[in-house]
Amino acid sequence: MSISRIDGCIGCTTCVQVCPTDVIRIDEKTNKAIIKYPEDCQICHLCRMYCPVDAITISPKKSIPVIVSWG
Amino acid sequence: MLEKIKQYNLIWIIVFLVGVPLFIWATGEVHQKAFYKEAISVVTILAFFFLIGQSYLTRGYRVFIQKLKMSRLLKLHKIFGYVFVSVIVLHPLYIVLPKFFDNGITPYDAFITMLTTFESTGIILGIVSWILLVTLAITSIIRSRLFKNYRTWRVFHAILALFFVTFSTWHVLNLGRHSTTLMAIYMILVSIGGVFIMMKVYYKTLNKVKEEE
Repeated sequence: MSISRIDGCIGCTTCVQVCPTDVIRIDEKTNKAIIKYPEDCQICHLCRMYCPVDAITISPKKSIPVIVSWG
Repeated sequence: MLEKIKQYNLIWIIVFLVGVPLFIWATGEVHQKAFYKEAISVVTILAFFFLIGQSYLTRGYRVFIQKLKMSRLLKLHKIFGYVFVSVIVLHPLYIVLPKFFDNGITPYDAFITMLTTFESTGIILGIVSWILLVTLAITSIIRSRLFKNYRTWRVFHAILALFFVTFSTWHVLNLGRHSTTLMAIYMILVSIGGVFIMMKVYYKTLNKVKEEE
């Protein structure tokens, strides 16, 4: 997983708008951002960079294993 | 200094308002960010606990500081008040500080977005708490000009403090990134204890005022 957690979200929806792969959605009950599809994250860091309250943490670990060619 | 700390039971204030919150913070899950961000978080958490814990440094509760005279207790209350209000007043700016060191949204835009997200209950509570805190500080500084009667001032100060403790605790529970279950429980206990002390003191004070009338 790349985007790992959201703490202290104010629900401004900026991250939802900037995410190119629709990883983040707004929870209707809490009115805060949630990581809905973490497997689609491309680790572009746009959500983290545009979050006004620095609520998003990107994990340094990648979930996708590196594919090494034979030979 | 150490003797004074022991003599006046100040060690308990340090344990309850510094030790326990720091322990909960250190054992929480959330600290994965840069050192300066965590340093800001720790300073803010401690300042917040000292502010909601101010009720324990009043005439209503002298268990921690049994040997201290009222004048000294008041001095301590004032020092803690002015120091930690100065820290918390700048709290909205600490939030956007990382944006100075990052590409993406500018600190100014981040600040405006943050303050204008009125859909967030936490933001509204934060703004109300900030206004209450500034009012508490300003009215404390110009107390002699505003109030002739000391007792009226005390009741006014306590009512403002009561609202501040309630709104700020709610704000932290809603938005605080270190508000883990344990931290939330401890915060609520400290706040309820403080509110109870204030209610007890001012219930007595109001009764005395009524009797005098």
